[in-house]
Amino acid sequence: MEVIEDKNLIKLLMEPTRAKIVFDYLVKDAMTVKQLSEVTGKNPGTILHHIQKLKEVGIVFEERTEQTQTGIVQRYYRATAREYRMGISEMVQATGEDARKRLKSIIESLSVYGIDVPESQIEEAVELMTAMIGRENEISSRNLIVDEDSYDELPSSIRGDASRIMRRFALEEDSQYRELRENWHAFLSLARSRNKIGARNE
Amino acid sequence: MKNASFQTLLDDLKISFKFALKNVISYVLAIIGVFIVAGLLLIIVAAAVFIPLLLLMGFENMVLWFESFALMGSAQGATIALGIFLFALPFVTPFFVASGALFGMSREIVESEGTTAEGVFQWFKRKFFSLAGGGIVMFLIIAGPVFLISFGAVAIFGDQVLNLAFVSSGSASILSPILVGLGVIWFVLSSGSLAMLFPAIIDGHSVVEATKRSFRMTVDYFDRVIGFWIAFILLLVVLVTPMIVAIFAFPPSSGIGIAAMGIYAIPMGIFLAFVGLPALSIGLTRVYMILSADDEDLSPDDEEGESGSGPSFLGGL
Repeated sequence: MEVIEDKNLIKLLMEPTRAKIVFDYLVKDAMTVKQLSEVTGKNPGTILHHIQKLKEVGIVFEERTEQTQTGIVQRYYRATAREYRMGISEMVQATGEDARKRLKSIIESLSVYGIDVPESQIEEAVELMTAMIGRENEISSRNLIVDEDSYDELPSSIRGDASRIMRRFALEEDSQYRELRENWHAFLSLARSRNKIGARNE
Repeated sequence: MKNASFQTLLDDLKISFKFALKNVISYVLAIIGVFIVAGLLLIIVAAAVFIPLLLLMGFENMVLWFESFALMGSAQGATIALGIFLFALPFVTPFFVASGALFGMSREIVESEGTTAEGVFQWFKRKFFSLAGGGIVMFLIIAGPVFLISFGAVAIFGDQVLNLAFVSSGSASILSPILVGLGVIWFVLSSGSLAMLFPAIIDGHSVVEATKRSFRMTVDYFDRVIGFWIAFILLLVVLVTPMIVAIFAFPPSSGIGIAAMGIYAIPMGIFLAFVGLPALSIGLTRVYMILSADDEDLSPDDEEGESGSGPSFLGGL
């Protein structure tokens, strides 16, 4: 997994078509411009321009080239990593208010789970979340694999599950992360109990 | 299969024309549009050159200044040649960009079998400076040595040598065919060596890198690159030859001669502009893509990861 920390790269990936190309398709498999054009509904020229931008910044590379019977020369592009995460603090810096707005929206959306965070505490919640996500990205980006060759031979679904288990394990082992997570959970618990008391009083 | 055989060359030509014909409407619209834009740019360049001259010199003085070039005549042929060489550069650049943008369309066709007419403007806009730079490099490399040799000859033998070399008169009747022959060889080889320049620029390389890549590919796959280039030039010669024959058979002064020329020349011109030029750009782009495939080991090391996840803003929450 790769944590994207370059501000310009984050800005580049905030464009919806580029994000879709990389995160929905090229992280999973190598695809041609024609295939990407078909699945995204964009014309091949647009896809090609996006691919070139992504190639320039090193997010995408040419995996192989194949000639078809009709004479076209298809290039297969793939993302350089199987999973990406945006560095949270860099994302806030790169997108300014947009990232904070998105975090606020996420916190506000917790009301559907009975956690209504008051307006006065939203900033505090954003800070707690930012710190926790930042630490999580930091730990998740560490390479935990000890046997690369055997890892490459695993089927992708097994590889994904194993990777998830080990990342959770690594997170649980980190005391700083545990503390940040506990603070965040305490904040959520408090907000939920306040909501329950409020509801009972009404 | 990167090297050329006669069959490969034939296939390259066949596929190029097949794709050009298949996308002829897009190309017709794109060529008309992009060359109108190039024409407008040329007007802007002309205004940028002539308006300051007009303001500095005044209209009459500017006319006299231009007339002075004609008065120099052959006595200062080298000066005129240099003037034309440097003066022409900004004027031809928009047309290089327009031609280069067609390579962008061709890239779309070769890579995905489809393009749109408006796509050319995207390439025109996005790659403007690279294509302009590429055009200038091409112009300097192909035409530069010709001018340098001209200057060298003028310095050694005097201005008269230009008359001998470029105008077939007197003793030049012996010299000219040799120079013309050398000139043709130089043109074919130098332009052939730069045939991969625009496709490389469209592929995202800088002008310098694209120039190096073009030369390197020509050296490594001389038969494929120069073979395709010569095949295209020969095709052009075959198409133009009937017109030259017609000029001799029916002198243009006669009505039949002009009509015969028109009947052949107009459709041929249209064919070359709207099918020949696109086919050339498609062919060169295709050859570039085949030759540049698996050129370098581009695969990065596999990294730890899991399948099926998007860009996680929230990590594993």
